[in-house]
Amino acid sequence: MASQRPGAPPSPNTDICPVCKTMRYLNRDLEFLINPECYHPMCANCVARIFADGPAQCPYAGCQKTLRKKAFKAAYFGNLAVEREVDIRRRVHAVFNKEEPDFESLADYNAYLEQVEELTFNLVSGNPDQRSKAEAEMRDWEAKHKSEIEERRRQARESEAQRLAREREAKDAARRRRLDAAREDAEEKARDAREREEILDTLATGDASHARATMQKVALKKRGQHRLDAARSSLLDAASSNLSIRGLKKDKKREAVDEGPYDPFGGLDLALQRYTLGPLDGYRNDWVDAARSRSDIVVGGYSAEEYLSRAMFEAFSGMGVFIEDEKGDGELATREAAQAAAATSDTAQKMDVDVFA
Amino acid sequence: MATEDARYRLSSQYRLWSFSPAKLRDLREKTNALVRPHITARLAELKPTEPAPEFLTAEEETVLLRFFTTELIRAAIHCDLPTEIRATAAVFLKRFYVTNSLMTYPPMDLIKTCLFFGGKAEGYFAKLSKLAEKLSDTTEEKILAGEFLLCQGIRFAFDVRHPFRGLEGAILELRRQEDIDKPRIDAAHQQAREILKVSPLLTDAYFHYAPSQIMLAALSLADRGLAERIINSAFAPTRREEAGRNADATATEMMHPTSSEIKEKVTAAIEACRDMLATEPPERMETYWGKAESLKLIRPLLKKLRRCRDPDKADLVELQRARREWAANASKEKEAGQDRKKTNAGLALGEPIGPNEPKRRKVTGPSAADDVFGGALGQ
Repeated sequence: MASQRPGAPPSPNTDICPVCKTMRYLNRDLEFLINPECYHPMCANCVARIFADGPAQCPYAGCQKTLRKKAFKAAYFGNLAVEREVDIRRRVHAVFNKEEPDFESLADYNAYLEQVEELTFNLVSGNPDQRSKAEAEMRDWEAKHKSEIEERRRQARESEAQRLAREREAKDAARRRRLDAAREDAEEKARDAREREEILDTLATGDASHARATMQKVALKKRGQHRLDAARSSLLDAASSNLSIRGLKKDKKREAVDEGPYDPFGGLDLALQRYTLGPLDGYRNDWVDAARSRSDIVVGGYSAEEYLSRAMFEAFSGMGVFIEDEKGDGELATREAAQAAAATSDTAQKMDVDVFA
Repeated sequence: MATEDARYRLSSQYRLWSFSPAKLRDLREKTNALVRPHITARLAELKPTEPAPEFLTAEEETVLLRFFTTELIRAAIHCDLPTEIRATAAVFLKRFYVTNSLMTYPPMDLIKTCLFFGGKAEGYFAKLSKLAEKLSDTTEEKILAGEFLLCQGIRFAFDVRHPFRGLEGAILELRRQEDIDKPRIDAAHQQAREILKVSPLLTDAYFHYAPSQIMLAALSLADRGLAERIINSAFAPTRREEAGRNADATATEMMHPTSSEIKEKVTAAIEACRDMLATEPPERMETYWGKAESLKLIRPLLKKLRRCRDPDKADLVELQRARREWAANASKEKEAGQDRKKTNAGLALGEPIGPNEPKRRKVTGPSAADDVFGGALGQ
């Protein structure tokens, strides 16, 4: 046993019960059991022997847990650490059994999940202090939300029952459909045979024109009848099977948040504040006048107005940017300056370049 | 938030290349300090007998850089490059030497690269051969050698916001006003243009002020009254604010200073910029730079620079070649290493010892080469 990792159960090859030292060689039906109190494996014989007279202390040296025979079980997982975690998760899930539709928003649900996971983690791999705290928290929650938990458990059971019923019903319906189809097939075959016989009869007894009319009538009737049948059966199907899709939410609590229209400029206000652009004809200098009148410039698509608005913009752009305040360590003058500084402060850190040194 | 300012804040000039004076001084001092031990070590390796040279201080570097900027402007005028290219090239040079030391990379070579690359950045494609012809002691190779280095040094921020177009806008706006004499505007326009062509490039105005502030400072140097008119028109109290003043003061008003407060701040910033520009008026290009008194100051610095230069990086062409070779070798070695693994699989004693590999040039490590922004300065 000393060579084995803690947490790993006795493997089939080196199976020795750590309590009575029985080997698989001596006992072919050696079966190891654990108790969720302490997860110490021992063979079924030992369990029967030690705990036959009621609760007793775990036979492992140093283990103070009191165990009952009833709680012993065979481990499902090879690794007992996994076994223990799964047990704990099962226990936690029985108490924290809320589901996504119970929450108003995804964020709430995620917060809840995080809380549960935190607690589970503390139970699984926390130190004794954390573990006892988590236990207390869980008891607390259970006491506070007793009715809710019960209600949800009942619902889960019901929905499970419903699901089973629905599945059974679906299976039945499928079987019925198959039978119907088979019967229809047989009927159609019989009808076909009957008709052919009829036609042959008329051909044998009466004249040819009468026979053609009969054939046409039969064909028309057949086609129409079929269509009608198909429509009726599909309608019946739709009405009879109460259509439901698994996983589809019944009620929608979450509402779409109105974020306003899409803004391609990311909230940048493009309305000018420093100046108002006057009528563009009012702006004149030699160059602009030339650009307006000379056809060799205008033909290429050059617009003097573009130039004017750009020149005016540049004249007033950045007037209120105070680099000494925004880029220095001093206090920031305005809130926008603070935002801008926060957005750009990290770029200055990587300024150092010396490629070849 | 005034949209005009918000849009300027999106520019790379604001995001990457605007510093407070203290921060800029810090950066330059840090660059200077980091370069020294490296060069000392290299020089000690090459010439063990000589004592370590005396290094330039950060202030001396700044003075020298100013001298080299005048050289750049002179070269640009000599090559008939338009104003904007001249300014862009000068700004590139200044930006490059914020995080690189004059002692590391030779400034005279980078001036040429800046002129050529400044043209590219402004969409004016000067012919490389023509430029090389016009400048003395220059080959095409020499101009191109520093190009990528320059791009890294300026953090690939090719868009330089100049005050020139803004000045045109301001003059157009002034021309619309009926009550100002046209000759007065023309004179101011002319003078402000002359100032903008030189003064902001020689000083650190591009690092500390927005282009419109530089423009207004230049205009105010030319004609203070006209600049004030522009400022007044920009910060006239809006109708909304008038209404807000009558109503009770709200919390939002506390966050947004009123236009008169901003106007005061803008005026102060423009005054500061004006003082800065006034230290290097355009006349100084003729009367000071290149004349005896400046040479008296500059010559000893140049001499000093020659002694304490980084020996590995004095020749950019050679550096470029070495770097390419190294990169080619590295990829070849990788392939060869795979081959060797295959062929040596059967050898009992492992790899045979090959001829001594030539000593690799110092620290051209892949980490420095891979990072497009270059390695950290402290390597």
